[in-house]
Amino acid sequence: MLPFVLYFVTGLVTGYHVYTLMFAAYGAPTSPLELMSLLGSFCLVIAAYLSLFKPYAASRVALLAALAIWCFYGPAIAGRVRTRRDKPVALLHRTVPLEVGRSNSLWLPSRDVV
Amino acid sequence: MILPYLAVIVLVLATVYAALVVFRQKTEGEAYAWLFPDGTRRSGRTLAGIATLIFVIGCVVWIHMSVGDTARRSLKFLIPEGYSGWVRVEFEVSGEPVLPVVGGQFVIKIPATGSLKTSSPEQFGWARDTYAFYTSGGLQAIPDSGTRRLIWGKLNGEQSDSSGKRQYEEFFVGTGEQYRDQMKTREPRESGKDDRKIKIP
Repeated sequence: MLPFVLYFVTGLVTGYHVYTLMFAAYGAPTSPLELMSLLGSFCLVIAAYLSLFKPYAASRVALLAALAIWCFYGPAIAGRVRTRRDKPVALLHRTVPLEVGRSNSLWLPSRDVV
Repeated sequence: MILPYLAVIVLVLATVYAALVVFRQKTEGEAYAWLFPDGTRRSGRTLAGIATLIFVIGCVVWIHMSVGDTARRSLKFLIPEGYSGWVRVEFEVSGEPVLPVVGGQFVIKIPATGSLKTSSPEQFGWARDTYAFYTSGGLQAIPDSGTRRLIWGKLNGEQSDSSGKRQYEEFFVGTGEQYRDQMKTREPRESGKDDRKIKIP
């Protein structure tokens, strides 16, 4: 049961987190790393069920899935560390190109992921 | 706020565990059989099935509640026949009338000036708004999509000035050619004077 619980919880938590981040900034394009991480989370949930029957095969799938998730979390953590070390940015100013010739702006918190 | 940290912690655990299982040397009768089980008993699989069922039911309930939260009452815009140009509705303006509800829709009857103020609050969420020209003979629906579309550039915003914050909704009524032409010549409205923010629906 241990591998099932571990893979299942990890898949759900990381998947939900990345999913919410994808819609955190209005109008921001989706990063391919986010999609890869989501795919990894999905594979991790599959690995959880596979671990009930074939633990060794499941662990290989889980390892690949975890590496896919790290493709997003790795750069995100590195960026976060770099931001903290340098100058923290409280707000990020985004211009929303809704209308030509209009000055619409959207203020959002900086898109910190961790 | 705890979610990112939780995600990283469980991800580290899962990665380390999966790597250990893949790269460890198997030995006969090892002491850590509980940590690296060869399989799961029938009772364990049943438990996993029940947990999955509970999770799926939870997801369905959550999605159902979320959809209910984001739904809003739709708006019906009544526009003077032959009107072409920008329509603007300002919400939460004290002293102005509230929007009437007819047939489950808020009815917004735009005067010939193209601008209307109401004390009703602006609503956010998913709904299908409708548009119609009003004449003495009745209503004539206005297409807001397709090749004969007459509604363009709809946006919600918030405007701050000396009189306070105002929420508004704007859109253009006219042909696509008229919309593009006026966008080329139109100056940004009150830009520089106001702090305009787009509200996330």
